Amino acid sequence: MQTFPQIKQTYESKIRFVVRNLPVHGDPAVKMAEATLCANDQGKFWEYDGKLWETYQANSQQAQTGVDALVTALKGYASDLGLDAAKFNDCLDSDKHTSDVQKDQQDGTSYGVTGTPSFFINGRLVVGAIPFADYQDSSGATQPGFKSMIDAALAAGS
Amino acid sequence: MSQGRKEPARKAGRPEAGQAGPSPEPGRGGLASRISWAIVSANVLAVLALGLAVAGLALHFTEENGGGSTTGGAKPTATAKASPAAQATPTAPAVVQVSVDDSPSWGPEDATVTIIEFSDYL
Repeated sequence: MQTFPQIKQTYESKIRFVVRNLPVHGDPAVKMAEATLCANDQGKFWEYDGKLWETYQANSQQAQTGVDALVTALKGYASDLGLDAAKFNDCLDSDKHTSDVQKDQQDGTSYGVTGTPSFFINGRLVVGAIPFADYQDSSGATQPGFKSMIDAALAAGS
Repeated sequence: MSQGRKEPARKAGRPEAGQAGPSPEPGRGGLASRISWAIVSANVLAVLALGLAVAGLALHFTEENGGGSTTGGAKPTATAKASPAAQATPTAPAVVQVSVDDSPSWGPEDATVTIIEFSDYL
């Protein structure tokens, strides 16, 4: 199982998990972030977020051909998930959430985030795609995965 | 900022102190009193110079003691102050107050642990 489904399955009733945007791969990435917020307007953020990760490879290839091809795909995902297509398309085409994404970017930068994914666990910055379980780094040293870090934060907060 | 506020106050005080001596002199007049004032002034200056020299010497020794604390008696104090910070750096990274704004989230809002992800879908 992937990291984030494991986090949600294990800790859904115990922790709060928040997603903010820091698109660092240009206009296509910005448009994708806006699309997730358009889906959020219809109460389908997590479904849309999951869809974008499922289609990661295809999206990366389409992004190389430009924003237009990607926008067509983003609208198609909304239809696939049963969102109101007219509302979603209008939201995306009108740049409704452009300023929200920009604010996320500005905030992230002000917090010292320079790359993605980056996480703040109770305000402490963790950088990189950390696995759920503990893992060994390139030097062979054991490093804490998300489970250990969350358990430690829960123990410290209780 | 606090130094900026203190400095004008000190400067304002100096002219008042400097004027305290000479100001009665014009009212007295006469060469003898002027010579006496010059002698007194010279004595005052000499005392001040001696005082400054003593103070400087004392400061010199104080600094030497401080600088020598790495090997002298003050070492444990210096070490005790430095150690917690040095140990805290790798194990306790800075805590940043991160706003969740009205961003998408799951889990209880009053949870004791909040994870905020900054992500890019590409």
